[in-house]
Formats: sequence, C-alpha cells, structure tokens
Amino acid sequence: MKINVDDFTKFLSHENIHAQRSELLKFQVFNKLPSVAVYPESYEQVSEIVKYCNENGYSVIPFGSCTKVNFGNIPTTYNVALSLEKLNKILGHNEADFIITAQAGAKFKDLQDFLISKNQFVALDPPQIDKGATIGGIIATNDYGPSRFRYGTFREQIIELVAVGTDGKIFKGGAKVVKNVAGYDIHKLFVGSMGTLGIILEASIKLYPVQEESLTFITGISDAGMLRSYIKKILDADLVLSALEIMNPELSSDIFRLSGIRPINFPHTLVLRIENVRKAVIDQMELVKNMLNSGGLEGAVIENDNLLWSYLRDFPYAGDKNCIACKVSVMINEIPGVLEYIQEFSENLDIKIYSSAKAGNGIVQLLIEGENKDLEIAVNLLRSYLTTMMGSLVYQHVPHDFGKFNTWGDLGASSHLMQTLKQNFDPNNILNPGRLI
Amino acid sequence: MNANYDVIKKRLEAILEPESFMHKEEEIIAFECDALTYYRVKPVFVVLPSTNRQVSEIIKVCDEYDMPFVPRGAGTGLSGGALPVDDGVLISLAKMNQILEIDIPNRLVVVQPGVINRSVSEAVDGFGYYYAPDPSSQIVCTIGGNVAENSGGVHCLKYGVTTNHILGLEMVLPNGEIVELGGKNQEYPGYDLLSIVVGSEGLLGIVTKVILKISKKPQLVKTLFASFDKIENAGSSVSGIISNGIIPAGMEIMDNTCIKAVQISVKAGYPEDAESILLIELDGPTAEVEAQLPIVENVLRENSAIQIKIAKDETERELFWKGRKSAFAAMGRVSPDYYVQDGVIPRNKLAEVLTKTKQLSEEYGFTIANVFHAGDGNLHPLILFNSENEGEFEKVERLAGEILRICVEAGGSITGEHGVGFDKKGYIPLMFNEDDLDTMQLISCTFDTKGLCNPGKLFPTPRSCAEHGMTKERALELENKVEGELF
Ligand SMILES: Cc1cc2nc3c(=O)[nH]c(=O)nc-3n(C[C@H](O)[C@H](O)[C@H](O)COP(=O)(O)OP(=O)(O)OC[C@H]3O[C@@H](n4cnc5c(N)ncnc54)[C@H](O)[C@@H]3O)c2cc1C
Repeated sequence: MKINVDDFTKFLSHENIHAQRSELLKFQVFNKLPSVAVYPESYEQVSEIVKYCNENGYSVIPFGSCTKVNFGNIPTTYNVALSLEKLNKILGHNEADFIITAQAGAKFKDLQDFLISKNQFVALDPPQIDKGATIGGIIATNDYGPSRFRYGTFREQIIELVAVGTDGKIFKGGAKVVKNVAGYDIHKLFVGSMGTLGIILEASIKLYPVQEESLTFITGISDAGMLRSYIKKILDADLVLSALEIMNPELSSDIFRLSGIRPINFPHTLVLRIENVRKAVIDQMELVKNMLNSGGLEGAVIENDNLLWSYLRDFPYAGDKNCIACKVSVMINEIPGVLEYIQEFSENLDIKIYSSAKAGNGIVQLLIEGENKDLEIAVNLLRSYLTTMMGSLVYQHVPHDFGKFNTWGDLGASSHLMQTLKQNFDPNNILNPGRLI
Repeated sequence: MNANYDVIKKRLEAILEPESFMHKEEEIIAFECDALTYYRVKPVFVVLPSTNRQVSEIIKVCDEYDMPFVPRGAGTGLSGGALPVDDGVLISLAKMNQILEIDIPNRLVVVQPGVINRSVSEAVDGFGYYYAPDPSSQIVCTIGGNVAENSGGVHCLKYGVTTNHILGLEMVLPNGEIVELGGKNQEYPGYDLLSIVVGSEGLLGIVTKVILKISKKPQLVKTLFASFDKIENAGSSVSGIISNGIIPAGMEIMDNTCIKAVQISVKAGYPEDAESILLIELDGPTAEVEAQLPIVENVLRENSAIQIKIAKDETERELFWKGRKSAFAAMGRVSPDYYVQDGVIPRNKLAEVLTKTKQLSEEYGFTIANVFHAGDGNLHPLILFNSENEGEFEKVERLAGEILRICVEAGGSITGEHGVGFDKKGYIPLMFNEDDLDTMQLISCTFDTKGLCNPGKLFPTPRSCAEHGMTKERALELENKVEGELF
C-alpha cells in the first residue's frame, strides 16, 4: 500500500516524521520495512495518528526502544512505525503510597534507578533494560525475569493503564490505588497483548521497599532424580525465595565466567536467591545450607550477587547468534522431565542449547543456537513433546530468515474468543496485524 | 413476563431434576436478594444445575428465547451482584460444590464454583497448604462468587486477591458454549482472558470449574495490635512498617466506635478508650518473622503507640482476629441497621479522608464507624441507622455516595473488594468516562453479544453491541422494572 506521508503533517511537526530508508531501518520487522516512522509527543497526537491510520487502513506497529522486534509472528502488513520514544516522562511518584506513574516510552531502567534512590523499586527484573527496554514494551510483551518466582509478572504490578484505541479514543482501566475492583481489568488484559489491542500511553505501577540484604546459594546437581527431589525439598521448605533457577552447563559456565564465579561442572546448576531484612536472610541461608548439605550437596553462598542476577535476568539474549530464543511453560512437576528431555535431544542434533528453568513457575527459557534447518527440527521436536503434557512453547526471537513459523503455537480452546476480542478492539486489523492473532 | 413462559418452563424442566427447578413464589423468595438486602427482585425461575452440561443447556434455552439470567453463589455479595432480574432465570451454582482434584506437587486444586472458600483450605490443610484469599465471609461464600467479585481478604496486602490465585477456569458463555481459559500451567500464549473474567461480576458467563493456586502455610504467625490516641499515628505506622522493607500479611485499623462495638459483642481484648487500634499480622518462616517483629515494634513506638500487645498464643491470636472479623456484625449490637461502604484511597490520604467523613457524619446526623484494610487503603465505613425511620435509608444511600466521592477525589476507587454490582453502578462515572466505558463494552460484547448475562449491573447505562443484541429500549425497560420494585 502506498501511503501518503505528507498527511501526517496534519498532526505532527516535520522533525517527528521520518521517511528516509536509513531512518526506518531500526524499525525493520523480519523482512518488512514501514513507509514512515512517526514520533508523537502527546497523547492527542497518538490518538490522531491511530485514528487516521484506522480510517485509511494503514497498519501500525508501536515501538518503545526496538529491543524485541523479532518477537511475534511476521506482520501481515506494515505501513507505519509508531515510536513512543518521546512519551517518556515519569508523571508522578506517590512515595508514601508506593505507586509510580510513567509514560509508555519511559525506560524501565531510568524508572528503577530513580526509585532505588528513594529506597523503592518495581518488583520486576525484565531482560534488556540496559538496552533501553521501555515500560510500554515490557507490558506489551509480558517480559519478566527471575524474580517472577516471588513477585509475579507485570500483571501483578500494574494497577492502571491509559491507552489509545483504534478509533482514537483515549481510555483507561484500573485506578491509582493498590486495591480496586471497579470495572473490567483492562490494564491486566493489555499485559502480553503485543500491541494488538491499543497503543499503551501510560501505566501506574505498585512499588515495593528495597530489601536490606540479598544472598545467593549455588550448587551443582548430577541427575534428574536428584534434581526432582531437591526442587521439591526447596519448594516445600520454610523459605521466602526471590528466585530459583536451574541452569544447564552451557549456560552456567557462561554466566559464572561473566560474573566472576568459579564454574562448577554439573548437569544442573541450582541457583536460589533470598532477599529480606538482614537477619532474616542470614538465618534462612543457614537453613538452606543445612538442608542441602545434609543431602550430600556442596554449595557456595554468593554475597555480592547483583552481577550474577543481571546476567540471568538478560538470558536469553540473542545478540548476533543465529538462534531461537523461546520459553516453555508446563506444570511445576514436569520441569525435571523437560530438562532431561532437552539434554538428551540436543545431543543428537547439531545445535547448542542454553537453558534456565524457573523451577517454581514451570517455565524453561531456552536459547538454541544452530543452522536454521536444525533449529526447525529442534523446536518441532520440542513442541510435539510438549503437547503430551499440555505444555506450550513460545518463540521470543527467531532468525530474520527463518521462513514461515508460528510464534505462539496453539492458542488453545479459547482462541475464537481471542479472535473476537481482537476484532472488537481492532475491526480493521491495523494494529500489529498477524503478530499475535 | 416472557411470552414463551410455558415453553421455557417445559424446556428447563426437561433439563433439570424436579427438586432443582423452582418457579413458585414461596420457593423462589429465598433467592430474591443477596446480602445487600435493601434491594429485592423475584426472578421467574430459579434453577440449581449440578453439571456444566446442565448449565450449558439452560443457557441455550435462555439464549433461544432472549431470557436474561443471573448467576448466584452463596448470595453473600454486598453490592447486589446476584440480584435477580424480574423476567429472568436465577442460576444458583450451590449444587456444583465438589472439590474435583487436589494436586499438591503442582500446588493446585480444581473445584466446582459452588465450593465454599474455606473448604478449599480445609481440604489441603493436612498437606500443609491453604488457599490464600480469605474474605471475612469465607465460611459461606463460594469460589464462583469470589472469582466474579475478585474478592480480597484480610491477608491480601502480602498475598494478593483472588485474581492472583486463579490459574484457569471453565465457563459457559452466554450462548451456551463451554470454554476453558488458562489451565494448570502458570502461563499460556494469547490474550490473558482469565484476568478479564476474574472480577467481571458475573457479566461474561457462568464459571463452572476453577483451578486454584494453593500456598504453603507459614511456619510462624505473630499477631499484635497497637493502640493510639490519634488515628494519624496508626496510619503513619502503616507506612513506616512498609518503608522498613516489611510487608506484613495484614494490617487493619479500627476506630473507637468500632472498638467499642466489638468489645460489647466479642470481647477481643482491645482497649476501649483507644481512639484507634492497628492490628498487624506477620507471617512466614520463623527466621523472617523473628527478624521483622522487633523492627515493627520499633516503628509503632516511634509513632507514639500507647500500648503494644502481642498475642501470646493461638487462642489470643484468634481472639484478636475475631474482633476484627466480627466488626460488621458487631454493629448490630449498637444500631438497628448498618450500611457497609467499600472505598479505596491512597494510603497517605487516610487522615484527610477520615476528617471529611467525620464532617459528613455530623452533617447527615448518622454515626459512622470505620474499619479499614489499612495496608492497602481499603476503607469500610459503616453507617449506623434505623431503617424503620421513614426516609432514612435513602439518606444513608446519599451519604454513602458522598463517601465514595471523597474517595475518588482523594485519588481512589469506589470499590476495593465488594464490587460495583447493582448498588454502585451509578457511581462508575466518577472513575470512568464514556470512552473508558465504551472500551469495557468491547469486552462485554466479546462474550455476550445479546446482553443476557446478569444485565443491569456494573455499568451505569445500558449499552448494546454493534450487531445483534439487546436494544437500548429493551435494556432501559429492564432497568425501570428493577427500580420500580425498589422504591
Ligand atoms: C459478613 C460479610 C463479610 C464479607 N467480607 C468480605 C471480605 O472480607 N472481602 C471480600 O472481598 N468480600 C467480602 N464480602 C462480600 C462477599 O462475601 C464476596 O463478594 C463473595 O465473593 C461473594 O460470594 P458468593 O458466593 O456469596 O457470591 P454471590 O453473592 O452469590 O454472587 C456474587 C457475584 O458473583 C456472581 N457469581 C456467583 N457465582 C458465579 C459463577 N459461578 N459464575 C459467574 N458469576 C458468578 C453473581 O452473579 C454476583 O454478581 C463479605 C460479605 C459479608 C456478608
């Protein structure tokens, strides 16, 4: 579709309309480039742009910092890149009530750094925040990190959302209070909606007090049977863990090297983190040591653990590897079996797998490196294995030239409701068409 | 009355066992209201299905004849959410009360919607687990009702509300189709429809199965209260504790009117002369609770607590909580009637809002007692009155509305846990404008194109879906009928 770039001057000043190929490259999604990239500076401008695109049938993809362009299916059409980069303000911090409000284009890291200076934080540790991941982008993709074990995902943290619908209406869901049941929870629906229902403008998020102390325990485990029994022991113990990850040797050797920890060579490396007031951390760590040591495991306590967790947070990071990054979701007690399966089948293929399991959430994050044809075999094998246990596998990154693929797999028994929802929110299918639905 | 009354009756009778179908006045009277008893409407039929198939068939009949229907759990709702529609069917889920599966390794329980909240915890207690959301009504209210209202409890500050503990559910859509949302895993691809259905107040369909997350019971629980001569000090203790990095399981404030009433009814050991008390519960691993307790005591002293009392054993702990949990009922000892309001404010606005409600209380001439989920800013002002006095309830309603206005002006919400239902739909515009409501309507229309499922609730004015669906006139007609019954 030929789109009339000049029309955008009705809503935007010239410097906020980019149509040069060089300026558009960063908005490339797989093999598709937009005809124009726009940088609105106000909610009204976003509203006008979306309404105009809707009326003209131009498809729009919203962007924060472009850290996750290869997440989602290849868009069926793509005309306009809508950057939220200039809507990046922190709008309000109610320090006494532990709530912050920020615009979608605000960088998560800026927000977190600001809050930490006030001894508060957003209880999320999503990947790529050092590369500028934005609030809107993290909400849309439902990104999270290891602390999901204790604090959940953005769904648990978001309390209010302001967005623009395809008809240009600016609407909100939720309220700026930590408890509220008025109206439908539209703010939660938008978490993970991949920019397909509306353009997120602003979010209010609840905050937590910074914890006084953090300690991490690391130990190696030699087989799946032991892994199963230790996961159970840890989950059943009287401990409040912030995170619990099980890494495979490929990943643990990389991460330990980067964070300056002496590598241990075991099929599984278990890493757990405890954060709390100081005495509570120290006392609980004693319990962990006693419990695991009595089972014959030798472990180490890591004191300055921030670096280690920042590497785990950023995993899986594709970088310039030819790879697929994906996440697997199963029931909690399937995790040891899934890890065993992954280890076995990777040996028979010409691929390298890095994996980390969120053992308490039934989630495994994977980075599979290899040639496209081997990657394809690997993910197909994994997907068919997972169907036996009603598990899912979602791609978070695929190579540019991967060909045809389906990011989401089977959307399940309610997929027709999802279709209807999309149709109702976006009747002309202009928002990120094809990426999710 | 629906012109097809006889046909519908026959069709429903064919679906249900005789004892599960009611149409006589004396049978249906028990279903004419929920716990907001000031509003009463008699439905045409009451049905008590025992399977999801039956629910589906009933709804197909309703869909075929455009007959509205209202789901009902235990009827403890405080916003008129389960108030019947006068030409509709009331569908009680009370007979679908089986716990279907307990899966400890995966920390989940699968239940039918009519299962009582407390029975879930009881069923897994022996394994060392419990179901965290604990509304004060937990010995009677159902999981289906909890899901619809997204109910909270006294421990939701630390553990969250219903929506944080639901993994999946099965529901019958308003066209009779049975669908599943979510499941036993913690994550599924696609839109998070579950987060919309939880808290949708029974407007999107009938929930027939729920997969609940269960939690491990804490190793140690410490309950204490502190008394204050200024409610502001109780309030600043709350922020002080949180700022120290401690999230207690629960923090509850009661004012003097409340304390006095509670002391008359249950003798919870609260100091009767205190202007307010703050009840705190710390729970978790022993190592954590023991480390946190001295910090909490310190904060309380810094905020001029007059007395700090730590429950010395389980009996005393239960007594402290009994006082709090019976606060609503205790009002019955000091007043013929009371109206429970449910509003939320930013936690730093407590003093300001209480001063304003006090002014209102004087202006309107009604005593207002305050109990307050202080940790999350959820106020429950209790307005004391006598419904026998001509016109008093109407005045109380106006006062209750004024309180909501104050909450919203302070940056808060018109409901923290009881829902909007029939009672508060007129106040929704205080929080949401037409564009917000139009967007919510897109969700209603995704599930219920005809607007047959629990109509006349949650939204201030009837709306219809773009294509087919209920006409505005028809919706207004429904509306008027309910009002007609009331005043
Ligand atoms: C003394 C007292 C104390 C209370 N304390 C609390 C408290 O601490 N916290 C709190 O949050 N609430 C509290 N409540 C309110 C009430 O108990 C809750 O809202 C509860 O969840 C209602 O459950 P129920 O089974 O009684 O539902 P009902 O009142 O029967 O119905 C409530 C709503 O749910 C819908 N519904 C019921 N079942 C289904 C289903 N299967 N599918 C779809 N929709 C359905 C109904 O249509 C209605 O809209 C209290 C009430 C009382 C009377």
